[in-house]
Amino acid sequence: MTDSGMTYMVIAYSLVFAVIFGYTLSLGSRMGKIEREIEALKQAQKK
Amino acid sequence: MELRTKELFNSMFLFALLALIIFNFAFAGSMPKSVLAGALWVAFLFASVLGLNRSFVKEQDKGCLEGLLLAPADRSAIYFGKFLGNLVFLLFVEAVSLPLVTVFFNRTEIVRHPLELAGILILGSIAISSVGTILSAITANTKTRELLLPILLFPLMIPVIIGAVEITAYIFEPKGTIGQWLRLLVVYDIIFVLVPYILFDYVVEE
Amino acid sequence: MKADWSKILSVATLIMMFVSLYLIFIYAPIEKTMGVVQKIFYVHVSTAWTGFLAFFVVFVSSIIFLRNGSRLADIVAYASAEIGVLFTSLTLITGPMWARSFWGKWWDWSEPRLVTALILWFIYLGYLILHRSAGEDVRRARFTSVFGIIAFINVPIVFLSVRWYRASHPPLLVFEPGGLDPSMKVAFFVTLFAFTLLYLWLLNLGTRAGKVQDELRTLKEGL
Repeated sequence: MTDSGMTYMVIAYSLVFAVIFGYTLSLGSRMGKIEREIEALKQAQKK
Repeated sequence: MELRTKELFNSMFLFALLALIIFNFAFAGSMPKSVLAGALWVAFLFASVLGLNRSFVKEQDKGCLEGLLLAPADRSAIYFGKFLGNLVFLLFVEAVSLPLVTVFFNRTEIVRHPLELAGILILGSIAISSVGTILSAITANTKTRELLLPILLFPLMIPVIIGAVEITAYIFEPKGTIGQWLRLLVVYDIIFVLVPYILFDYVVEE
Repeated sequence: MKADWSKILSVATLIMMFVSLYLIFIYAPIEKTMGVVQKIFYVHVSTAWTGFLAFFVVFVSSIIFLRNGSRLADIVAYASAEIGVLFTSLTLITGPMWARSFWGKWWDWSEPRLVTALILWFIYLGYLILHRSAGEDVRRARFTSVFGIIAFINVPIVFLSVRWYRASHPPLLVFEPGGLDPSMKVAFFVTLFAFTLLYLWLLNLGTRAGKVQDELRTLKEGL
């Protein structure tokens, strides 16, 4: 029981932090993409 | 307009009945009283979606709604109109289905306490119709329309179903207490007739 | 000035998360009857709390939006809903792990907190789907705001009804956090606080993402 309990706990914590990390990365990359698009549009408008 | 109403009623009624027949077979012919209560409410909830979906979609297509919106003060009155319309419709479907269910499945407990049963049907149907009407107004404007309404409606209906089934099961076979469920449903009905009434304006204004 | 707060928040969040991890794994003792697995509890309840907080913010932002049409309120509402669904998903994943170790069952329909989390998950997933389905409609923000308000009002009702439902379907065992060792209590509350900071940090991030998306849309429309 302790053994499988340990497994669950490790999975639980790993999952929680992995998901939080993954979401943060995803938000960051989404934002980066949009900001680059904005820059490109702004450059195009200047011309 | 009237012909479509008749079609809609027939569809809802048949749907409810068919659902119950399928339930009967699904439970291999033996449905204890508490399960019967559950099956009835599931059938009515699912049938209500058919009616609710149509309450705004039709007018969307015909542009009726724009004509009605000329008087801004009446926007919330439109909510009441739609809500009562949906409510009466649903109650009618229920009222017609129940005698047939009693006969087909030999469930005399359904007709033993008609007043109490009518009471809980009204309480439950008010909840379904009130929330359903405003959600229908919202989803009518979305791409997924008819699919989205049940997705939004059903989770919000869970407390209502729990309470309605507990009370209906009690009517069929008195066991335990239902005081708190009655209070819950009454409070739910009051809140969810008033809140959509207040918010409806925001949904419909241009 | 705004940038300073952002940075302070980031640093504070990071520090608090490490502090709470230390408290959970090193400071707080291992529970006598259940062993190490009890420690899931800290993160399970924290994610549940964060989800609830997130949905409350959706509620408040929705009201603010309907009252004064604030674009920021609408952006915050969506960001918060997304975070809320995320954390509630985590609650629903850690919950059964906890339940399995503690009660031997993966799921118990009479556990009001877990069942409420499940229903909330569906409700706010619906919110996100509504947001997507209403698409570019000018009224979209009003639709999601109205739904955001109706949804949250339901939360206490859902919780109560599941709790009363339990009366006719009694659960196996009830776990009340009140009976905790004092050092566990410290770890518990610090973790809650750390997750609250984490929520605020993610909300900030999500809001910035929403603002930038808005900016792009405005630019595109100008063309």
